[in-house]
Amino acid sequence: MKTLLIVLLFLTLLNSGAPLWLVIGLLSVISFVFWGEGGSDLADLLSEGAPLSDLWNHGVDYSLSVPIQMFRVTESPVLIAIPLFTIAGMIMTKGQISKRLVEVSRAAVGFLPGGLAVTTIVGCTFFAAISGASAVTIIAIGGMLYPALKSEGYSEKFSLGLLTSSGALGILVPPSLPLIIYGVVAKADINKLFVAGLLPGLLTMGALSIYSAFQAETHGVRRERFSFPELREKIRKGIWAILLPVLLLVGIYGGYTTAAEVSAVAVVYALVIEILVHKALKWSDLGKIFVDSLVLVGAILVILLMALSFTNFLAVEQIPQYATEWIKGYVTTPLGFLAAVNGLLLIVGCIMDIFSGLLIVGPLVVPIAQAFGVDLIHLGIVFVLNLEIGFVTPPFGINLFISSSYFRKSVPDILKAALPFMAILLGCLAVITYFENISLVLVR
Amino acid sequence: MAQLLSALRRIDSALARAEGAVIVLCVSLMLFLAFGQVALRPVTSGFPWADQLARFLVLWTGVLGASLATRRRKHIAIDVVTKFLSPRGRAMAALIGNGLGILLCAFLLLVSIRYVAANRENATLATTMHLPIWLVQAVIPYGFAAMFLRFLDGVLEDAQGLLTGDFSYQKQFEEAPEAAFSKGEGS
Repeated sequence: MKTLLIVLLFLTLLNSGAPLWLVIGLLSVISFVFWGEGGSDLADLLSEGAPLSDLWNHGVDYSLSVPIQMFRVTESPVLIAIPLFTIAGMIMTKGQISKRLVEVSRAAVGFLPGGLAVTTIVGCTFFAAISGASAVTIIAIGGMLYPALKSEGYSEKFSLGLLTSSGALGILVPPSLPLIIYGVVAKADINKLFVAGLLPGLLTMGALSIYSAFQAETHGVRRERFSFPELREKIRKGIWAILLPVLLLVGIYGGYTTAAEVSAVAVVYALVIEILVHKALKWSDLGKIFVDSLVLVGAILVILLMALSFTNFLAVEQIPQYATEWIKGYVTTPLGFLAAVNGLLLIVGCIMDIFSGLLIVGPLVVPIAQAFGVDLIHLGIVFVLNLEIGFVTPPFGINLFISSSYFRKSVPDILKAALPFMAILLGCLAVITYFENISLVLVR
Repeated sequence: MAQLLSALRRIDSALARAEGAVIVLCVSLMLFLAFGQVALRPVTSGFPWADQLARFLVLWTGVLGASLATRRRKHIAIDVVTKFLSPRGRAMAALIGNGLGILLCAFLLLVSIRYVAANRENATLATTMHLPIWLVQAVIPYGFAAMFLRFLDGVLEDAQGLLTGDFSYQKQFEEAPEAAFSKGEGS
């Protein structure tokens, strides 16, 4: 009954369009004051006919959990990676690193069957990884490659579907923010999460690339001619940009550094390159980049802070344990549980952006998954992949709307174009969920 | 109401300038500390206080960023329903959200003041350095106070819109998807 009330209140407020952190914050306050330990004390106060000031003090006392939990976030060593990677991503977007990277990959793989489509997939993956947002990816890469795709003979439908769904790929590759945030919520090792994301990331990229090559061949798309001087020229222009992902990947996969350290290096490196080498940014742009990044981070951080205090309530009240008992009445195997999580997350992914989804559902699902004996690293990969697919699924997948407004096509048209890609991504998700070794083999 | 609104706006933009300046300062320091730790790794095993200070700065900049996000109406919200409403409907929905913001921020402001005051009385220090912890925590009540003002501003704006039927103020919060990238084209 208690749980049902929480859920109902939550759903109603969620859809009023109020800022999410307010909804979660209100929930934690109400929970602590009325339903937690505070609830029984409150009942005592009420039955004694205590004066209003006592009731008020009672409310304030039990709400102290909120600032306490807010401050406890400063104990998390990975916390600093969230603002720093956001800043690094912003620098790369406003400068030229990402653009030059796309040009290098086009010169390198453009001659393969489906080469430009593969370039799109690689570009989207890297871009979504650094910017953490698939919406920006569609616009950034789409603006560069959509005209090129069409002029090379790819059908409009294919090009739109490719761009709409490829934004989903980057989040399994470092320095993906969603994985870091999952790590904070689940208290899982961030470096392990990144390593675990490698094979699933390559698998989804590979599956989409094979489909693209197949499509390109059957539609008789003209292949680009491979030109070594061209490649050399692009590499010469892009060498500093190429070194950045190399640095990130070697640092993290090689186990030399933590995500927090890599994030600091990434910001400094990107700054030096964009300002001194590419001359795409000026020192005076820095202030605006810092402030804009921190507005994004702040919007995520308040949700994180409120979610952590709500999680604390759930843990104190042992609600995940009750939920586990209840779920065990229907599902008994870890795999069955993961399948159920997949279903739930696909729905959540349709209606929420990935950060909100992670922060709201994560704290509930993680302890239950532990009770089922599901590996938390594996769960993280499944979790993030799921939410990202939700971006493309109707009725509310945000990528569909972004594409629709940016490419000026109707949402049903975009949806039809994205369907085959979505089917491939769902297939990959099923495979990755079922064979947990795809994510875990490199971690062990 | 118009006078109250313009007074609020003046406070609001003064706060925003200060918040922006503090963010730039804190982020620079945070970056310096974090990069310094990496750069010095061959020489020392690192300074625990630098790590802790950097994390405190994340809290500071994050809360200030959230405060600015309130000003720009950039908070993450589920807008699948409200997206399809008329300007009037959206103003009414925003009135609910901003009203909730006023209530919750006011309450949490009081709660967090009590929290900070308690730590100040106990003279609690940070674990790795001689820094009174309440000074760090003080950003929490500040954040709620600043957001309270901004939500109040929002409520007045929405109320004025509903009374006069002029919803043009909503335009400044709508960002076309292109805008996120338009400045990023480089050369």
